[in-house]
Amino acid sequence: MTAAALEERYRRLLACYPADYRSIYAEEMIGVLLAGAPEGQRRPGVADTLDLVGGGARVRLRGMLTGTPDRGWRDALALTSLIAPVVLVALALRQDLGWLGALVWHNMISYLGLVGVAVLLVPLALGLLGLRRIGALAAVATVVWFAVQAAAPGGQVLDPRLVAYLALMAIEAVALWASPGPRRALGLITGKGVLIALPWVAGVAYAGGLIPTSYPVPQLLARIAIVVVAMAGLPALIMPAGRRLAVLIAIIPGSAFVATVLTFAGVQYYDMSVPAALASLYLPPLALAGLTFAVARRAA
Amino acid sequence: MSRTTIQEPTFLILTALAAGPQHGYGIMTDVARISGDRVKLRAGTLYAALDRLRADGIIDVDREEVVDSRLRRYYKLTQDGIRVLDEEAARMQANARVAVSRLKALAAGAS
Repeated sequence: MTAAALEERYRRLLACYPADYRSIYAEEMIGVLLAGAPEGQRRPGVADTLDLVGGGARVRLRGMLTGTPDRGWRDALALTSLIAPVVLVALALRQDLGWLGALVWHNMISYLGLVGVAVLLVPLALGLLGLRRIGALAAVATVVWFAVQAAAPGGQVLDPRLVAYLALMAIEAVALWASPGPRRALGLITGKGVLIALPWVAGVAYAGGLIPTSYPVPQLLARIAIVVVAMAGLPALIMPAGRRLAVLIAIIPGSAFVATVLTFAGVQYYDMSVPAALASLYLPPLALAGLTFAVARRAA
Repeated sequence: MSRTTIQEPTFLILTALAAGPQHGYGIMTDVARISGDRVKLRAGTLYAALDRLRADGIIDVDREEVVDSRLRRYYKLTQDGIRVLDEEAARMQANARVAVSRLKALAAGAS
């Protein structure tokens, strides 16, 4: 019993290390730690604890410095570079097309929406052509351009949607720059992954489109929460990464909770009743979350 | 890439492996023995070093065994590893030789 308890405590300490590293060395390290432990020891000693915590930190730091962090997260970022523009385009086509046109040129509201969609896809297209760094710069340029147009007279700088679009394009820039890019992502996606991803994107676009944008703060939060969760959740969904997946999925009810608190604090969703607004906002993504979680668990 | 210096724990790990393939706990006890119990590696430090040395091609996995239902991996020096240890040992030896001869001269001058 004592040895089992000690082993369990060592295992918990090994959580300091990245998952990739653990998958290679954890069993060996446990063996070495137990072999070195005196008879009857129940808890890891202070020196071993500090050594493991420090060792985990060093391995993670080295990963960051050499640009070879946990492969799982690199792949997640690569998938993000593919999915971010797709989610944005889905949102735009669902609700924001005319509004997007005004970001292409501020006094041309409603006419340039499809040009805006094309602009959103340029960084991804460059990434797919193998020019991911140039694609990242294009994404940065898009952020700057949209911000300038929104700030122009008659622009929409106070529109909460702008923040979501700018944030997602910035994420796209980071993902293109820091990961192997969308080509790698295509190699990662399985047929099963696409089956999971498509309803997810559709659900996000649906939920995002339902959030009225006339009252800035709570809608802004809810919209950003949904989009960010979608961005974080999709890569984890497509890849076999059970725990990461569960944590990310758990954020969705969390975001619904935030919106609920804001609603009861007196914030109204457009002209719906509170239960109707909440149900229409969160039931579809929650149902999808449950479904995709079940599917992904079976796939993992 | 030729290394000008390697740290003492790394040097001792490579020295331990110069006796032949060893598993993690074997390296740990051997390093303590070689250093006269002065250097005591702990698991986190040991495996951080082993991981880095593997990535640099200095050591490699020799074989894996399962003992008491636990994985035991044996590590060995690669050709690069042998060269690195050889260069490092020669460098330390040369430095030590200079230090010893100067200390002798110092002692002779003082007497």
